[in-house]
Amino acid sequence: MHVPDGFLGPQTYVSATVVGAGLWSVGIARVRRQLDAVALPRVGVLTALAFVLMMISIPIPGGSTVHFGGVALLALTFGGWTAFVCISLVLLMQAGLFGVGGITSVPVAALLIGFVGAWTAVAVHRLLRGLGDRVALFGAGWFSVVVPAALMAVVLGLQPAVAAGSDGRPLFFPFGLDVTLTAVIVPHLLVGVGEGLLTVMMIEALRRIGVEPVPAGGRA
Amino acid sequence: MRHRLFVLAYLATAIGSGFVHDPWVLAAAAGVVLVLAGREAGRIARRAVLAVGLFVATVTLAYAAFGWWREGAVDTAWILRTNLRAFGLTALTLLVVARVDARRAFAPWPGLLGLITVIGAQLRLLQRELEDYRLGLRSRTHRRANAATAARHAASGGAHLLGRALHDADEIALAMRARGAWHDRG
Repeated sequence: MHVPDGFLGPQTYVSATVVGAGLWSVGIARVRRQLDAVALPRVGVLTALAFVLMMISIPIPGGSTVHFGGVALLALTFGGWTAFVCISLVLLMQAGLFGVGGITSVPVAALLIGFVGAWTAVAVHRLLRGLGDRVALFGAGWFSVVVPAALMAVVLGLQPAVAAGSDGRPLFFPFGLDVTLTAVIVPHLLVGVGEGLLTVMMIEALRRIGVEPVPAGGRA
Repeated sequence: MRHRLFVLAYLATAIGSGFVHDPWVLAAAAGVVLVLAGREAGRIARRAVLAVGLFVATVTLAYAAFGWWREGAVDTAWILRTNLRAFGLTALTLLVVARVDARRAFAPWPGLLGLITVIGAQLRLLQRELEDYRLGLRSRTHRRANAATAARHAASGGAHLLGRALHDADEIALAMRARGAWHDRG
């Protein structure tokens, strides 16, 4: 879901920056309280893993990219706020160091992938726990990709309506919802399967070496 | 202070660029970025094209084909505007990151700087582990490993890699504690 500069209008990225600023200040304060000498380097490991997973991305004609994210893994291991802050940093570092995803699209991507994705994973995991641990982990991974992708499709698809020139032609992303909803969501339905499997495998591997996910209703 | 001002000026430029739609102005701005890059202009231009080229080309070709099919014409102004804005801003980002000292720019937020440093360190370690693994696979296979072999190898080694990365993380935690990064109670 990396979107380069020039595809989102200022109406979108300025609004996202304003909303994001409030959430980042809350998130950073929570993370500062939560992370200690043991947790911080471990958060670093999983964030570095998310960085690598998100770098392997494939562009799709509907106006975005498909890639794994490791968002559910971070959210279920360290909590939604930590995942949000870490994914925001990953997106910022990818934009700055490699030019992957534009700096103007970082706030939108951070809100969708980091905030919505992380809290979707936490909520779905809690909802599906009764169906079994693996089902809950898989569901958390799948929804953590598909829900942000659907919202990104809406954001992109609204660009021709919210940012058009005086002649009615698009100034930024050119395709409407009729194209983006299909083009962005369908590939992510498949990527979500991979993300779900990855979440199950990685959480189980972490448990084997003694790193337990945060309890439901526990650390934020 | 200078580095923070650079970052603020860069952010203001990035936000302001969304209000400029004239392809000539965007082309001139991209030219200014390359001039400011000096000797690094070629490298930054190449990196910017590699970073956004595939994505922008995909959307541009899709939009051009869509316009041709629907209206029998291609919206060249949109193509120029979007390509120039994407290239110019990406080149500017790469230039600013090359010139600004992140430690000084983020100095007012030590917690965030600590997290960025740890993530950066873990990325280096992960890169080294993956390189070791790649070299190990190459030394054990006669020919270049095909995708299936590489995937099997990655799957079997994933848990081991994660374990090693977490072990390294614990070592880093001990080293940081020994250097007073945390003021432990008790």
